[in-house]
Amino acid sequence: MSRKDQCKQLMSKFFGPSTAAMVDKMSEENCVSECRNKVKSFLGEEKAKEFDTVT
Amino acid sequence: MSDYKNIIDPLNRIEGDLAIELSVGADNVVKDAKCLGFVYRGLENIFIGRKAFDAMRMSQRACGVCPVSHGTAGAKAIEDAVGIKPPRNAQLIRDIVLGTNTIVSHLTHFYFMWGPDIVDEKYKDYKYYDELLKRFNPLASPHLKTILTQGRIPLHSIVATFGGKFPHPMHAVPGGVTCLPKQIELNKVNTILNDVKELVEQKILGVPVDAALSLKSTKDVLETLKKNKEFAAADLGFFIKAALDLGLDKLDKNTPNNFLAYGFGELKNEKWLFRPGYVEHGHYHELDSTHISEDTALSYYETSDEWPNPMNGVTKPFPKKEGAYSWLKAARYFGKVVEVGPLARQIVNGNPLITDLVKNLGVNTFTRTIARLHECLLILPQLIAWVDEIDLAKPFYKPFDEAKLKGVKGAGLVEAPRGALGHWINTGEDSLVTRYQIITPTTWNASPTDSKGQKGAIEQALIGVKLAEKDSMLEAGHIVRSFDPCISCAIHAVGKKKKSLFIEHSI
Amino acid sequence: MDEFNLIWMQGQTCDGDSMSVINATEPNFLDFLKRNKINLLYHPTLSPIYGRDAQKLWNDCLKGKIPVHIFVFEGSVPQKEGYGDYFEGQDIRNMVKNFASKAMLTVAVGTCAGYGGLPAAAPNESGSVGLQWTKEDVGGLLGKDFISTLGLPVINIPGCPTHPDWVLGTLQSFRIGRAIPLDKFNRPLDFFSEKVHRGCKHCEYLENGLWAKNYTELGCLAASLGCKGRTTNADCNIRLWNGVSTCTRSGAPCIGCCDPGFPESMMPFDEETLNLPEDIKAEQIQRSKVLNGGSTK
Repeated sequence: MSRKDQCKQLMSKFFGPSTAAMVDKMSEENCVSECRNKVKSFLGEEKAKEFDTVT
Repeated sequence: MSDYKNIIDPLNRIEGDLAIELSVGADNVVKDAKCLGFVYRGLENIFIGRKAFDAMRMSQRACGVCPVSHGTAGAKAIEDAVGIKPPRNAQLIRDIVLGTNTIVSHLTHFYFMWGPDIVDEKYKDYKYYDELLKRFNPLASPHLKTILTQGRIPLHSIVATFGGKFPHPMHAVPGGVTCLPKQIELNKVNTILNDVKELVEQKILGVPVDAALSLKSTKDVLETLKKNKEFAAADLGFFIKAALDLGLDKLDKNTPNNFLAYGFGELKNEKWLFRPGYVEHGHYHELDSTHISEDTALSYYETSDEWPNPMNGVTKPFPKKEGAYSWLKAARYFGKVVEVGPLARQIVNGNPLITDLVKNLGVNTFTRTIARLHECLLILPQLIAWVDEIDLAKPFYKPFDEAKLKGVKGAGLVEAPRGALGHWINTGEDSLVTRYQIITPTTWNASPTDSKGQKGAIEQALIGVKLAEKDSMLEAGHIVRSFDPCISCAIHAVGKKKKSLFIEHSI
Repeated sequence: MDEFNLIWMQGQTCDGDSMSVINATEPNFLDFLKRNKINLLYHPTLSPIYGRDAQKLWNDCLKGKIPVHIFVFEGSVPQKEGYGDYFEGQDIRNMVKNFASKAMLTVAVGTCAGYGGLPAAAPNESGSVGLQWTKEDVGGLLGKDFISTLGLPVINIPGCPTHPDWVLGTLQSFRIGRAIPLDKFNRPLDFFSEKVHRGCKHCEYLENGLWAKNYTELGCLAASLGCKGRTTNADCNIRLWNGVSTCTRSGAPCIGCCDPGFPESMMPFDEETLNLPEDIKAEQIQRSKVLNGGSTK
């Protein structure tokens, strides 16, 4: 699975499909850090750690 | 030197927000005050052309804090128009629900809205400040949680028992109420009322309700405060002591000294728990609703030369009107400014304690607040008696002929928690609403200046007050909140030349 | 958990949604904030701060000095010139747009904030709209394409008033990062997938076509009394209000207050105005079979 797809999965779990759709506009390179930042600032570091497993 | 403009916007922790503009002289004394408020929702005009019943259901939505009184007033206006009276059981249920809502409203006001001002940092040098914090620290005091979970929430379940839900309970309909309670419901309601009575005795009074009601004068209260440790340690006693120490009884002195009430709680013997009437400078007169009128000289409405009675009133918004400063109309009785609310209610009713307090201490922030709490004690035992009076074998609703709604006029007058509330309805030959006018308690208290230059009750109370600093807000906070205004809409404009806080923004 | 800020503002409102939300139980509103570590930055009825202090706080939020995680709005927004000057003469439309663009999530509490509600009923003198909808049409103040920085449209939690569980339940789901699905009007399906009539104590009368002709009579409140419970989406009769009752349970017909078209699409309140959807008709027949041992009356 691409990094974007993995990010979409996580964003969908946390906030739903509308948030996951945002990932489409992100680059394969930056999507993890962008999503991680959003999740960190809304849900906190604990939940943001789930992005550390994205490969 | 021109006067300093002290603008307090938003003045919140009332029902909705209000803005206050004070003109402060060099000595920090308020020389002039303007009370700006009420965002226009156009409710009265929305009701025109609708069925009377629809107007009634919607008119309740005027206020989410005192929807019980609006719902009841709407139903009574239709009943008045067609000339019917609901069965006694329906009358009882309506009064139980209204009385319950009044107690909840008063407790919520005291602890959640009025209370936070008394723990303002400006009082931090007061020797009992820590004790004040323990009781009134907003959103943090354990007392607030108790009042919420053991007072407000169970009491609102009484409203829901009869009306389905709170806010916007649905029980009151023209001809009676919709509910058909069973004995178990009445037992539960009775239990909740007795539990709340215990809560009031333990937390607020420190003595039994009967004992507190036996205090009939200022002297009685002050002596009990000295002698009775439990009374002095409970919230009410402590509040009285602190408020007097902090000079809240001397904060504001000006009052129109006219008081109006529409009457609450029709008793079996055709008497009232709190009678209707008008007291002008200490003299009681019977209520005559034809003396009610509204002026719109400085309100955002088209102006007419006459001050119409609401039975003939109109609402024509004029938002760009030069010189206007409020969306409230100026309600007047006999062409005079009046104060309404728990204090007015008890003055009209001739309650000995409140009458004596006003005689000794005047009409001010302190006496208004005490009258509000005292009224909870007067209503609570009566509610329990009313629950017992309900006769399950008798009807709760009496149907009426809807054809009677053609071309009629009616008024529904009730005492809301905050004071006199009226709904006026006219229907056409097609039975549809041709006119709907509402005068809320706050239309009386927070009214703007009228065409004769008479200032509203809150405006009068603010004038002459000495502020700690020319821009301090606390004094106005105390005074305005002591009226428990129900703007129930957001803040309104004052000066249009200010630097904009909210920038133009496109999304 | 880290800092989490919620700001609650109001437009054209009766304050009823706030009054309803503070009636929450398990947990009560104060404990809800505490346990979820939600910092209630500002609430018009509950906040200690006011006047200049409140304006400073709003300013700090808009400048990004204080992060706003959730922006809750109660009441409709007057769009017509001259009807929306709040906050020292400033325009409420800008206030809402500013906060909605800053906050990570925007929640419209009550039918007015969601869909315009009562103030938006004709003649709608103040030009009222909901945040992202006006009645059944998407658009409203913020426009159909609005999404918050978290990628979400305005979450609508309607009701006149709204139910505390609906609001606190939704906020909590977002707080802990468990997405809840939305329906086509952006209402959380958890609370708005059922019809009001499901769980209504009068259901059996409906199955058997026994209609109450007047209040306090036994029978279903549809037909003569105009109950809208069969077409209105809300789980009132499953959840109960104030722990004890609901409109229909107390004998009052549902007036459809959670519907995006409320109140106009629901009037006259006391007359049958519904075209019953086919799926409900089919379901009724099925339930009737079960209740009556096979016969369909």
